[in-house]
Amino acid sequence: MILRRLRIQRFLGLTDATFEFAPGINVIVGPNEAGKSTLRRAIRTALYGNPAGTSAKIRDELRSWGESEASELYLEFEIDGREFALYKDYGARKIVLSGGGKTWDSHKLVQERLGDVLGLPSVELFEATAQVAQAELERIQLTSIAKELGRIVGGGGEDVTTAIRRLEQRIREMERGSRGMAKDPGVLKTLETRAVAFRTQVVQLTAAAADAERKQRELTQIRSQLAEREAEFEAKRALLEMNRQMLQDVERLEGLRQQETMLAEKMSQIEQTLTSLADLDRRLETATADGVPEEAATKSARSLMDRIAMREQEARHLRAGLEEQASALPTGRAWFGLLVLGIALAISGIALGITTAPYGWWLALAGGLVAAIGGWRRSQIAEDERRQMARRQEKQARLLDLDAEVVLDQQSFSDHLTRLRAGSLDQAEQRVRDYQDLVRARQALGDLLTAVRAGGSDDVLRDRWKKLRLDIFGIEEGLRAPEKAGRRLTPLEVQSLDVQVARISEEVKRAADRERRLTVELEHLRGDAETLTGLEEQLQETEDGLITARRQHAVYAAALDGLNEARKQAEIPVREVVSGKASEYLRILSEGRYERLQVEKDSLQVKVWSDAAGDWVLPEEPHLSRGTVDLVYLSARIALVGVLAEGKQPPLLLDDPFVTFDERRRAAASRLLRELSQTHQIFLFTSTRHFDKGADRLIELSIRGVEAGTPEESTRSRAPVEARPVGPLWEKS
Amino acid sequence: MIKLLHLADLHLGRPFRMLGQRGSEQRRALQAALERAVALAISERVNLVLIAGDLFDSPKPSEGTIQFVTAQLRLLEDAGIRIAIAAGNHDMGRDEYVAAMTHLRDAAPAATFFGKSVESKVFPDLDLTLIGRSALAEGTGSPLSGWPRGRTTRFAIGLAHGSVFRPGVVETPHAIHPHEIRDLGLDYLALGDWHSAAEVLPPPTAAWYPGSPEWLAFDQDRSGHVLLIEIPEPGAARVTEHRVGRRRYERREINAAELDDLMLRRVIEDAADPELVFEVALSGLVPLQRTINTEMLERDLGERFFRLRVLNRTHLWLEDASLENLSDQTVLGRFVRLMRERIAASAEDERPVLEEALQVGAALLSGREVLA
Repeated sequence: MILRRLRIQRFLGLTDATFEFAPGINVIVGPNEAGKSTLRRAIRTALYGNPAGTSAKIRDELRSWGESEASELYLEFEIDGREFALYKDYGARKIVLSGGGKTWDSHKLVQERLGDVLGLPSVELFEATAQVAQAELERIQLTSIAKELGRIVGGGGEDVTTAIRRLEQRIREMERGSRGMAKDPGVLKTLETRAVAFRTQVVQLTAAAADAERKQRELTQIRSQLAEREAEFEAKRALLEMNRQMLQDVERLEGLRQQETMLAEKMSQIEQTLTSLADLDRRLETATADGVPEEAATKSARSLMDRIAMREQEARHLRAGLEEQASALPTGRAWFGLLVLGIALAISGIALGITTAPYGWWLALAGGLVAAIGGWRRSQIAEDERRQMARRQEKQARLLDLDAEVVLDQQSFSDHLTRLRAGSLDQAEQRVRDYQDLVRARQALGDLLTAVRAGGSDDVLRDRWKKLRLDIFGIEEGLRAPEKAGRRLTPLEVQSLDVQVARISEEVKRAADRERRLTVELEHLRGDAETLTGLEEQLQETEDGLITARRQHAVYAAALDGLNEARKQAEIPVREVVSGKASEYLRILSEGRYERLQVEKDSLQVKVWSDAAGDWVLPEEPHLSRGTVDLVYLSARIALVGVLAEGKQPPLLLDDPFVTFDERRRAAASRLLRELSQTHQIFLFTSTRHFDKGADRLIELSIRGVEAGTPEESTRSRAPVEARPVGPLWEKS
Repeated sequence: MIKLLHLADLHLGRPFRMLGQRGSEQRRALQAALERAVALAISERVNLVLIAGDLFDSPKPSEGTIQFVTAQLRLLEDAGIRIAIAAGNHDMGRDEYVAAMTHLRDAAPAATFFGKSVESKVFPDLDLTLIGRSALAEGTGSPLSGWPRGRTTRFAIGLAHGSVFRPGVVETPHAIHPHEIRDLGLDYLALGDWHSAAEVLPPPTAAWYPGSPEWLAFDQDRSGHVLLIEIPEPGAARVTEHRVGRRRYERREINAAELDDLMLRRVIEDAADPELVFEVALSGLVPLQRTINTEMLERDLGERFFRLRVLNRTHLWLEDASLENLSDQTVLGRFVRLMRERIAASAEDERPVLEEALQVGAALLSGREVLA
């Protein structure tokens, strides 16, 4: 493709300018701000710009300052000798390509075909390959040739290796900790861990909730049982209380009845006593009406009668004694006989003794002793007879006295009876005794009455009795009441009920305790319901996040796989072509000092064969000089155009890439340009005049010219290009 | 005139898994909606509050939730407002009445509770008959089957929980059919089950779903209401919706192909509302160079909403023409072609991942920051 003419209207700094181009080397020279960049952009816009698709903002940016109408570009070019005219009007937003008698106004169609012809389908790719700027050389000093080449080979503006490394790094970040422990785990591991933690908590809380539910059920059951048991307890307790009360009433009734009986007896006793008292009073009255013998007189009569009896008894004794004394007077003749016998014996003894034998003497002694005893006893008896006689006389005298006293006493006794108005002493004494008995009986009854009344009056006692009977009646009526009588239990039953009530009370207490415990436990568990819901929500959020992260991971992994595969596929031709072409370019630029380049797989690292080193060396200091590094880059860089343009020959726009070259290398660069111009139309934009000589067309721009809106041109043409027949643009052969 | 407040499907205690840590806020919002409904009933001096099922989200609501509801019922009871509650399919207790009925009855002894059998309750002072029934198990018949016809009082209303037949949407044989409602001839039928407010039939046999008083789930754009019904005379029910919910739900379909990233952010930002549950579905065909990072959008803008969900339903625009812009000699060109082949050969469910991988790879090669 050969650009022939470009007319620029109201485009940035160029209000209206027309440029003629040569097929070979076009050198656009001018100082800064003279319009070189504008022309370069105009060429690019003419080739790739879309008036219909450009935003108003961009359109305004493209329009020359002070102009009201939008930019217009008119480009004439040749393809294989066929001439075409391309018109782009940013104001009317239209595009028109004409050639061979045909016209096309679809940007899409036009662009497809132009891209095809140029081998560079997009403006980005055009900029990345067909434009070589000084800035790139500056950049490789900061980065590397490999990176810069990778950026171009990438096709999107980013170094492929960097893009892949970033993606790998991101994937690694996401996966960190997934296959082992990591201090700072990646998003996948973090979310997985969080999800597991939430899930565990949810499981625990769900279990707690189930526990709470079970406890709630138990609580409900216990409350129901508790209510039943409490009701039963109350009923039985009430029955028990009632029966206890009834038993107490019965007991009390018994007591009251006893009291009532006693009181009744007492009342009866009082009545009887009062009757007996009245009777006694009557008898006393009767007794005292006949007169009551004086007790002293009666006693005196009695003693008198006793004295008479005693004296009469004494007189009888005396008479009896006297009669006995007279018949029983003692006699002493025995004892006199004994005396005579004794004397006789004593004389006989003496006689025998003297005469015949010794025993006579002993007989004389015994006769003497018997004579002595008989004699002594004869004297005593005589004395007793004398004393008895004396006593007999005394007794007779006494008897006479006694008889006289008895007569006197009997007289006195008779007087006493008269005074006692009694027939006999016994009668008088009986009357006294009877009176005394009546008095004593009355006294006893009076004492009894006092004791029975016990200090109270008969009315008080009567009231008490009445009250007691009322109480008894009340209790009896209470016990007979149907509501009690029907529920009355035997004491044995009450005892059993008491045991039951105690047992139920114990059960109620236990149930109440359990209820309290469950209530407290539930209170604790209840708070967890809201927590559980919150946790489930957080779990869901985490799981959603995990799904998103895993999807993202899958996306990145797929992208990485695709990128690696694409790089593998793209790099092979790149390496082959770059190694071949670039070596040739380097040989020209280095004047034969270096002539072999190779590009490494994946990293696109360029290496240069150094004869001096006898090895492949990296294009960097100290292996190579700074200037040689630039040459290596330019060689590889320009070689890439051929690769990326797929064998097509787009015009090359060189933005002063040789500005730092010394004269010798500039000469080499000129040779390279000439070499390249065999296959590409060259546009060298420069602010120096070093390449004027080598130009097939020299376009000079000046600030003044820009200011005036018309560039000052000087043209030096080589042989005119031969015109060839023009056919349809898209009729590819 | 009879004045009613009709609410349903509050789903108190509902877990909001899609809200994550903000779920508890939304559960509190459900309670707040009931508080506002009760305040409305008291201020409007309604005769009867009808709760048409699913007051709770579960047959075993938490103690706290029960306590909250009993307190609200007590407020109504104290204000002399009658209450009628039917159980829904979510909150039916084992006794086939609303869950925790014992507690609720303790709080509001005069309240009417409906079980699975059809029951009628007459309010002589209102000259009103209320017929009701709780939800029936699925497949056991229409909730309105066996309802009495005719009336002995001037006004007659109904309370039930179940879905109404809707062609193409609800077509189960046991759904409530509109002709059943018409045949009953009630002045108003208070329904529950649908979470969006909807008129089922107009007067004279008016029937409504009030929807959930507060937002419950994505895709509910008509929640947040209770209904105030005035029946001046039989067959003339006037229904007005009253908003008690705070959260709004909005789903917006945005064609991402028509907006650049900045504009897209601005569109979402313009809708910012801390009470809004905003669901953005991005659609359209986006070019290879455009990588839409929904996660970043949610992260950056999420705080301005109660909940922001951005769904990426865009598809990669990879026509042959755009491929031709990519040189086969570059890694990018190779990559795009390779991935495109893989996408074409992949199963339907794997495609989104590969498409995104293609966008990510292309973006990386273009030097754009896309690694979240």
